[in-house]
Amino acid sequence: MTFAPSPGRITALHWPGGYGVRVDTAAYAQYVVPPHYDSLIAKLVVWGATRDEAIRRLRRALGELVIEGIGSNVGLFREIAASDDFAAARLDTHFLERLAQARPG
Amino acid sequence: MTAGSRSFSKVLIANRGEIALRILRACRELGLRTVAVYSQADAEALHVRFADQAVCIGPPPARDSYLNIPAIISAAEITGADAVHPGYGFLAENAEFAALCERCGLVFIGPSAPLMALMGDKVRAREAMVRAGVPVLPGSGVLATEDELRRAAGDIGYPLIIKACAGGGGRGMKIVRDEGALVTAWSMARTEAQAGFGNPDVYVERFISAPRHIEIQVMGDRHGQVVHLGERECSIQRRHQKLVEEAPSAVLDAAAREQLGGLAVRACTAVGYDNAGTLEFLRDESGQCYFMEMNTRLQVEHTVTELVSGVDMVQAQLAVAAGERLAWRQEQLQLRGHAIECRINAEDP
Amino acid sequence: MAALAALAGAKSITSPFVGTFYRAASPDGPPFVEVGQTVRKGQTLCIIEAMKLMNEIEAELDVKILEVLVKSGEPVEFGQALFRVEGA
Repeated sequence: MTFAPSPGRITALHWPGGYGVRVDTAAYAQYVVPPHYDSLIAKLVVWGATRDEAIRRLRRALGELVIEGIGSNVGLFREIAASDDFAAARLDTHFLERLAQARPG
Repeated sequence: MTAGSRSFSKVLIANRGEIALRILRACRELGLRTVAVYSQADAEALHVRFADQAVCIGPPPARDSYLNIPAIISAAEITGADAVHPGYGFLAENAEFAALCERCGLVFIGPSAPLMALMGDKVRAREAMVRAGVPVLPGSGVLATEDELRRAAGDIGYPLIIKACAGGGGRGMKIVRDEGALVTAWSMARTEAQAGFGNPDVYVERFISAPRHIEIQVMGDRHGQVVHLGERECSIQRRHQKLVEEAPSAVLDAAAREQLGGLAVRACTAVGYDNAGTLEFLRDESGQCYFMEMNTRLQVEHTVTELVSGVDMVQAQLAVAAGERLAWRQEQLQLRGHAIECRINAEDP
Repeated sequence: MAALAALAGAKSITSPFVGTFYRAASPDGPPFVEVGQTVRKGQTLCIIEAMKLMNEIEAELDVKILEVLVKSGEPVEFGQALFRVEGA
């Protein structure tokens, strides 16, 4: 993973919705992400009555999310949301390094 | 509004992107008019379209636009704005900007400039927390000489971390694992701190290698009342940038939350803190939490706190900046359910 | 292509910063420049007031003023066209 910023035109965009899902963003289809500023384009926020419910909702919401035309870290969030360590709240600041090491190949 | 309030009716939003929209929404629901500022790169941005007025303040580079203090103050003057919300990033923790806004008759939506300056100086902030009884990691004051450095490092032990007094958010830090690397890391850290923050002062702290990042959200008014809105866990980070945040933390029970929240409220009350703020803590494997730094602004991840507390934090910021009292006492704030935020970035996967 | 060619000789002078545009040094004073006038490089064209400071805006080149695009006392933003001009 390079994590290099990926500015450019968003050609297709679909945000998830439904109960307990909030998306804070200023992006829209055909919006051009300028290269001059930080790379945050949206915050996907989910709510659930319990942590387990919130995680199930997060997985569902990430499944509905479409961003085309630019690169994004949505795939990383799908991986995090599916991981056993995240489900079990085994978290510390090295979480992402362990996730990367556990990847096949 | 109560007597002595500093009411305002038109808010200039000194930011861009999603947070500019977030602030715009809060203003609109409160009946406040809005002024967007934008760079030439953002002419097609939504905050420009949705605000009541918009002013182009400069060319694309942030230093010429969103960090261009005279342009932003001028934009407030020509539009008749009487308050400024800085959002996060850019000028949000610039105490000189906050002070200048007040001198120009603009209500700054945030804590007072002296409090921002206090918390922006990491050594002074640490000292203020120690006075209020908040646990901090074993650490030093400003280290100006190699002798002071060696003595402090000997007391604290390894690994340790060298931090810039004017730094924060992960910038200007050096981890030192043994004595052999100490002096080189210290002089590099001083050089970087000078280049990055215009101030070479550094200090050292014990380094926790695999902490959880837990932070307490506080909100204070101008009448001496401070409450906390529980914690967020932001342990999933990459190069000190948070990627996933949640509220509450799975590892704090009600008693631990009350204890840490109570400490945060006591510390903020002691310094007379008002508006939104966040105390960041590192939690080690034994469960002990240590104060790391305080952010004197709205955080990116305020959304998870909103979803579990039911509090619109930006509206609360605007209310207390206008001199209103906090709308709730601590015991009236009930946290419900669980919220998780993912920061979606435009980046190569 | 004809429209582009017709516009090619005319340019505009834009505001270097946010502020309030004034055509004269005082409310009753004469304007620095009038339409039809040719100004020399370095000559004052107008004032932009920003943060209580009066900033004189000078011509970067010798130009002829074709049109004044902003009324005196009006706010202007960065990059806003103030004068339509052509090379002299």
